[in-house]
Amino acid sequence: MVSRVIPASLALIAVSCGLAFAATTDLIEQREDLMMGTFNEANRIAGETVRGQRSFDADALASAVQSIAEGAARIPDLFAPGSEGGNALPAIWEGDNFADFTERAASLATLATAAAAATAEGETAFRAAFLEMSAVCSGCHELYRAALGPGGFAPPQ
Amino acid sequence: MRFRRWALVGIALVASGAGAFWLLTAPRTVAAEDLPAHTPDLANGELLFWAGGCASCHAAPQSEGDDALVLLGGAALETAFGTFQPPNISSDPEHGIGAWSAAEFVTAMVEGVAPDGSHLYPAFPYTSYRAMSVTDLLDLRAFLATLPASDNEPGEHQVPFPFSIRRGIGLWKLLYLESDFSADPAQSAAVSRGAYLVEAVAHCGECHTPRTALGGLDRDRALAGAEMLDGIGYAPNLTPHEDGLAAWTAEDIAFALETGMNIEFDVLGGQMADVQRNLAHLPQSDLLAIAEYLRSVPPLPDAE
Repeated sequence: MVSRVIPASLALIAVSCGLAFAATTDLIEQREDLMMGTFNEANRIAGETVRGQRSFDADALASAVQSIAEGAARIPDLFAPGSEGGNALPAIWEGDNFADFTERAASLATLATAAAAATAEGETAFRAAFLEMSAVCSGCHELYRAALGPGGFAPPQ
Repeated sequence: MRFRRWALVGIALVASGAGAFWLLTAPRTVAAEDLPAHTPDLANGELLFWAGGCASCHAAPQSEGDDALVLLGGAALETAFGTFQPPNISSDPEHGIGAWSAAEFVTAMVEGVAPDGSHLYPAFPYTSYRAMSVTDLLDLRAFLATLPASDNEPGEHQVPFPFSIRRGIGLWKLLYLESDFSADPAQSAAVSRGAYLVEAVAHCGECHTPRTALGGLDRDRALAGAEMLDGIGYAPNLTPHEDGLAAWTAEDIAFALETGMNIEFDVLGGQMADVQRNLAHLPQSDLLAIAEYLRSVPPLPDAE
């Protein structure tokens, strides 16, 4: 009896570990898609406009920063406790940091929505609103993203 | 008999060694009469405050707005040499530096020596600040005096032997304290201004230049990128090499310092996020000067 229970439990543990691993890998991929895909594309459109490398297109900008607002709402789930890995520093889940992390994601969503609204007020208003929003990005990356390695300014792949 | 002679020789050697150590490690100070008569320019002092990044170490971590102006001590810096606690440098006369004379302030900034005559640890980057002009230092001091007082008492440094012997820092200074910074007269005014900001005030090399085993800056590899002192992360290569900023125009660099966005429209993270928030207070002309200087330094590859 016992000899049958042990292998069965071991198998169960192995399967659930495997599932947890797969779920974490999936989360890491999804958040990298969000940060390095969606967010970066939106940032490029907005950033090039702010730099004067792209003409001011209120609709395109509003939809770009709106995609950041929508993505920001997904951040707490994409960094669910237990999903350590990728460029995420373990600090995200240490102490009370996850509450701080979640608050920063909420603040990103709010400021991205405000930046979308600011597109209606013209270029100067959008620039200020967008830079206020991107300061939240770098404030969070200051604490919670693994630093860049030698030879690169893009995050390690 | 023979034993006594050797003992005497030994004692003499130890005594002369100790005497030499004592002479070589003597702290140097700047005297009040060496300072020029100067009416402080507070606006210039504020610019230097942001360029010098005082708040990055001496204000509470991640403080914004008025909180960044309270220089109460800040977070400890953990390094391979020990844990260094930034002191309270607020205007409080008792807990901060409000009671320091101009000569004491200049002495700390250029000689790394405290008013009590002890050597300061080079975690405080006087190795760079010492190249600031005396009038700039007096402007900075005047601006710091306008900032709020705090009675915060930060903890002590936690530094193991032998680094715990403050006098020994005098030897380190003989090795690593450069005499003076001088701008290359062949360069443009912007590049010279950028050199002054990068090398003296903003002390970029304190993170972006690698260090020797004894913790001094390896100036042959100036700005070529280095592991961060706290072991978390890497300060990238800032030279115009393809491993560094070769693909960046001066405008790209100035834009990154102004907005925190790099040429890929990714945001600067790590400790640079905080440095950038400070530098964003600088006028565009100074950000461009920094950028043009970085474009002019010798290109160096990343470390192997």
